[in-house]
Amino acid sequence: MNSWMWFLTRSTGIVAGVLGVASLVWGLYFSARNTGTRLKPNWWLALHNFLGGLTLGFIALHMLVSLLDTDIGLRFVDLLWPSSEVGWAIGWGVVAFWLFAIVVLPSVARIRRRLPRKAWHLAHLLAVPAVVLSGVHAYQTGSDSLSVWFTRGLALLVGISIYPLTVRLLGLAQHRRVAA
Amino acid sequence: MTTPHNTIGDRPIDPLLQHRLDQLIARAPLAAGSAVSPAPRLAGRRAKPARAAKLSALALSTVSTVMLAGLFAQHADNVDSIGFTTGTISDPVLPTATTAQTTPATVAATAPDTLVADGAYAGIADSNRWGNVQVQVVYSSGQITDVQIVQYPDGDNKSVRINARALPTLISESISAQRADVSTVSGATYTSVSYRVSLQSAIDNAKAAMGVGS
Amino acid sequence: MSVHHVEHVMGTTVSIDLVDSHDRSLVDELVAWLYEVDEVFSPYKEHSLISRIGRGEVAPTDTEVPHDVREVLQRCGELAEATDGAFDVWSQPSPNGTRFDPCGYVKGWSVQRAAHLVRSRGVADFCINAGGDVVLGGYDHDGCPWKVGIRHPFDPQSLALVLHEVGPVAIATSGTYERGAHIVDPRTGRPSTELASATVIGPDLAQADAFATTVCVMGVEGLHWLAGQPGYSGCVITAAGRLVTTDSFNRHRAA
Repeated sequence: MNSWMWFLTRSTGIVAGVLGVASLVWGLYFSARNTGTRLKPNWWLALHNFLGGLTLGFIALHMLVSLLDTDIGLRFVDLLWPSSEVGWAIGWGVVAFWLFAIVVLPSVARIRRRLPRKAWHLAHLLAVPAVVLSGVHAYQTGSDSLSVWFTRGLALLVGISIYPLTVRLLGLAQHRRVAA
Repeated sequence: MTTPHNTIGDRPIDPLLQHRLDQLIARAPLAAGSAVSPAPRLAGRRAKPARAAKLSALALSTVSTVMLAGLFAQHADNVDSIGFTTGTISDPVLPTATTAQTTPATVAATAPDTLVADGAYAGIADSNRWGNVQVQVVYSSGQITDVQIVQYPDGDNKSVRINARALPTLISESISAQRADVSTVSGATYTSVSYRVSLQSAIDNAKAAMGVGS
Repeated sequence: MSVHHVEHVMGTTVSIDLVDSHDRSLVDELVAWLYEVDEVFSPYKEHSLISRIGRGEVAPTDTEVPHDVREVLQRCGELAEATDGAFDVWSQPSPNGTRFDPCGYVKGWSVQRAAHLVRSRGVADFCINAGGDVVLGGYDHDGCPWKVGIRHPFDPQSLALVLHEVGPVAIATSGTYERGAHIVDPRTGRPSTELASATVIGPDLAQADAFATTVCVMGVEGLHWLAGQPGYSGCVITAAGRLVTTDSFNRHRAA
């Protein structure tokens, strides 16, 4: 039974990672003015929001299942706080979880309305380090990192994230130059 | 009647339009939707945008999770054990009663059933959380004359480093035998052949060299 | 003032290290004993007594069966009961074609007897390692507790653990990384692959050897069973690389 918890821990982690990247890319494409006109902006936004929520959901599932795999020996507190006992491989994942939580939860309409936009936007930017740290966590927790498929897939996800991020940053820089 | 900014040219601005302009200027969050969205929500719009896409995302995620888990389970079953058996190097099937004719009691004594052609054979590889372990066995005149470790996991690779305060703990580091300076090594029974490449033989050689006697 | 000798016998290699003795004749006696054991007990030798018993040509109660062999067989029977059939020398696929292979017990037993011989000659500090099963007496060459490495199951040139031991003590390790999945669960007839290795520490090598094999068969649950055996503690390393120990085992570990 434990083995299945282990398999599910890995699979939920991978799916959460893919969802995180998808949310990020969706968000970047949505907000970057240089990626062309957006047809059906409501559709994009709604999907981006949904993906964000789904990511957080799968992360929570991933964490829960990892608790159930008693072989790993995690305590509940280890899910919430990195500890030297557990190591940074897991620790980065915990930090990524908190970052994702900060990104997604304040974006829930009710909460977001109460926040000044700048604050919300700053928090939302944490999505980028969240995805990066998830990648580090994925790579360091190791069991799959020896598989060629995994490392190639991870590289692909990184590439997919970097492109729109770069476009967005360049767009911002250009925008600033124009405004200046 | 209206304040100066409420005119376009000479004409008064429609109150609804005025309202919209006020909102944009104040950058107040819209009642529904996001501040980022440039298009205001139109009344009568479908209440659930992107519903199909959302459902497919959810379905795809769930299915992928289950399928990946199944893939891992399947792969785990296909893994062979570490080690090798004489005469059946190329056969990845786990030893049955007949193929358990593993190592001869003394290296020279018994002849194997089938004479394996001279050469180096890759042994059974094992893939687990630690990585890949593979041995290479060299046959000469039907006997194993050498065992080489072809590939074994790197000590500081990215395996899970977890220590629970109670059991179980994970071996996260392998201890260098030289650093540990042990007198003897306990391990699964090595054969006289695999002894030659074992840690124990290195220790024995060192003892012999030290003139501990022989 | 010490003697070190390596001998290839019993299908493996035995390393003998007598610390406070330079008595070569004692070493010769030990070696002769091991060859005698091999002659009688080796399942690879068609004419050995064990092979003949396995084939049914000789009954264990026959008068020609020496006392030692009878003792071994009796102990094996007791162990089969104590382990609920997990350690059963009559259900092991044997190289001589029969299903009788007491090697899991005999190796440890013969080395324990060798240690007994050494002690009876007044040698207190010694180390005998037979293919990975170790009997220790007293202290090592520096007068310190013996440092025993447990071979890392996945990295042959490394150790998973280091133990500090003062004799008399026996350490036996059973595992799948040398001979593959040769450890067959007698209860199911199928190879056990859950564990990469199991190590048992206790006063008697024969018991420790049998227990290590038993634990390998039982998997991680075997450790719970072992915890119930007074005087014996141990650890296992799963195929996934996890180390699980009994509580008292940790006292043996180096810091």
